Amino acid sequence: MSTSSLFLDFRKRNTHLISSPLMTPSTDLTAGIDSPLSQSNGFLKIRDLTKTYKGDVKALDGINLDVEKGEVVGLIGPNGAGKTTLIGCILGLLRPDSGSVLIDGKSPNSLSIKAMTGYVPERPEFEYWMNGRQFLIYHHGLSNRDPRRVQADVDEALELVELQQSSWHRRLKTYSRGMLQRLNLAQLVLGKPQLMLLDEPTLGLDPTGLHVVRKLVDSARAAGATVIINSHQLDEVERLCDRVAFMKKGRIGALETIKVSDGCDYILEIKWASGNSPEEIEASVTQACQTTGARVADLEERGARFVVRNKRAAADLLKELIIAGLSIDEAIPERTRLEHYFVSDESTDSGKS
Amino acid sequence: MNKTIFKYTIMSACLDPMKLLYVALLGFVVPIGMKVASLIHGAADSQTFEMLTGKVGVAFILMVLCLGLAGNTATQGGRGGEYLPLIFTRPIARWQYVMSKWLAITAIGGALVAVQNLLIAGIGAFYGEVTTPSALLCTVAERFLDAAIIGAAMLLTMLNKQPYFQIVAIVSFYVWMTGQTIPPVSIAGASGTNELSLMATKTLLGCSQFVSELILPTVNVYDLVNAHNINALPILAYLSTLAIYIVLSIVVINRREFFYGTN
Repeated sequence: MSTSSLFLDFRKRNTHLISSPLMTPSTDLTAGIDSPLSQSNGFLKIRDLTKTYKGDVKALDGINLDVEKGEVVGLIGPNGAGKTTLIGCILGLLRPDSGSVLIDGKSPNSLSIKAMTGYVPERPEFEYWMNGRQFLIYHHGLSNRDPRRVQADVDEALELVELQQSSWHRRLKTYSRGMLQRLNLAQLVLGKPQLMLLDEPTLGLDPTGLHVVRKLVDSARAAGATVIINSHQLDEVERLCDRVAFMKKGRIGALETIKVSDGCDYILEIKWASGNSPEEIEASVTQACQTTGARVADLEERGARFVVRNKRAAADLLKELIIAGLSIDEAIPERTRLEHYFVSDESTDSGKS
Repeated sequence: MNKTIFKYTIMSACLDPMKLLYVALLGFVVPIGMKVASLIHGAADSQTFEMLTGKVGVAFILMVLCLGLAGNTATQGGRGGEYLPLIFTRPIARWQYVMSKWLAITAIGGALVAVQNLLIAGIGAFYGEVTTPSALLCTVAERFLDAAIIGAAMLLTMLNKQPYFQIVAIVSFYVWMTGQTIPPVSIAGASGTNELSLMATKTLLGCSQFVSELILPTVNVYDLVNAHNINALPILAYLSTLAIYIVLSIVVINRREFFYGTN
């Protein structure tokens, strides 16, 4: 039996271990391009929103979106797709040409809505004469929170973002980019917002900072807050969000529901050195998949592509393959499932050109 | 008024050591030194001294301490103006922001020049100069009124980012300064065949002072308090100009959009 026929045979015999990389069971496309939206009583309702900048640059072109209370929604899309403009309209910082934004049935410019809204800007500007605590006390005051709670609220926010206590009283001009971003996140939670808008919240953060963003979003979700995240970190968006809206040229191209219970499947390409017979490889792969719950997307003589649930499962898979006797050369995580929007978008564009 | 914005505006203005050094030199060391020198030598106060302790002094101090305090970051972060949107996502009405900033700027400018005036009056008293308490109080009140109208004009300039408006504001400032500083001798004493007549000098001065008063009207508090018949015109001119600057500031900030993304 030839090598290729042996691997074909493997696919036939191990159908339970095989899956298509982009047809993961956790993906549920609820809306395609220009498809109608679900008729829900959304906490945030956006209807036919358009916004044009000087020079006839159409930033938003008929956006419709409903977001439920307690939902975490991601905004993804290429640069210039209109994500930040959409957030600006939701915050009332930008005036749309037409259409409407209603938060809990009210205009975003209503002070009662602003009192329940929190925002993490992508590129905040700080007053560098302040120290970390002063900055948060300032925003506590601006949030109209109870002044008697200021110390407790500020300490709680600083601890939540895990900013080192030694830096709390340091001038902001001595802060690193990551520390400023943590402070940026801390000001978000001061007002105990019911609607959080996070524009590139992971920008400049180290891995522990990423953990802080996750913790923050999780606690917001637990508190029933609605969260909208604009980020290019697709794996984070996938991990954190209930739904993801893909934006392109001012429109929502697709709206995808991500089932949290399904985890975040992604593809891991593993290559191994020659030296093992096809039968040995097959046996090793089968055993490793059964042990770790991974699925095989493609199997070749010198490597395979596996669908794994998460990074822990990926590490377990590698360990099992090594124990099974495969000499691993490299393991490369492939694109997340959200990345295919960008890839198909690029191919569409290049096809047009 | 929003107390938080008021308090932090004052802190922002007063916590920069370089700005404070400038204010200490221009607002206190130089005028106090000039006053002491003129008192020792029995000379009259110079026009520069009068300027530094009057409305122009208020303008100089506010320009250093408060320019950039509204609508911009207090310090140069390279992307001025991006701090404002975050504030306007908070539950604060935009008119509240304008009023809080204006009151803070008025308090800073008025208080500093009032302290300066009081110190100079104290030094004058030490050397035997007589100043009545009512005159002193009127001077302090006048400095606050000066700070209020200069602060309102500055606020409008800071909030309106349109380039053409910025040009108008700069030109207006120089026109106003001209009305404050032209000494009669510089025109009447000009040499050459085209020497100005006394009438022409008076007309020019009158014009420059008239325009200057239109831009930033003055209320002479001492004259107002001691006048037998109150002349309402300066008060009306002052209040209407002040109202125009503040209302325009509120209109400008209400009309402005804020974009945080890339251009």
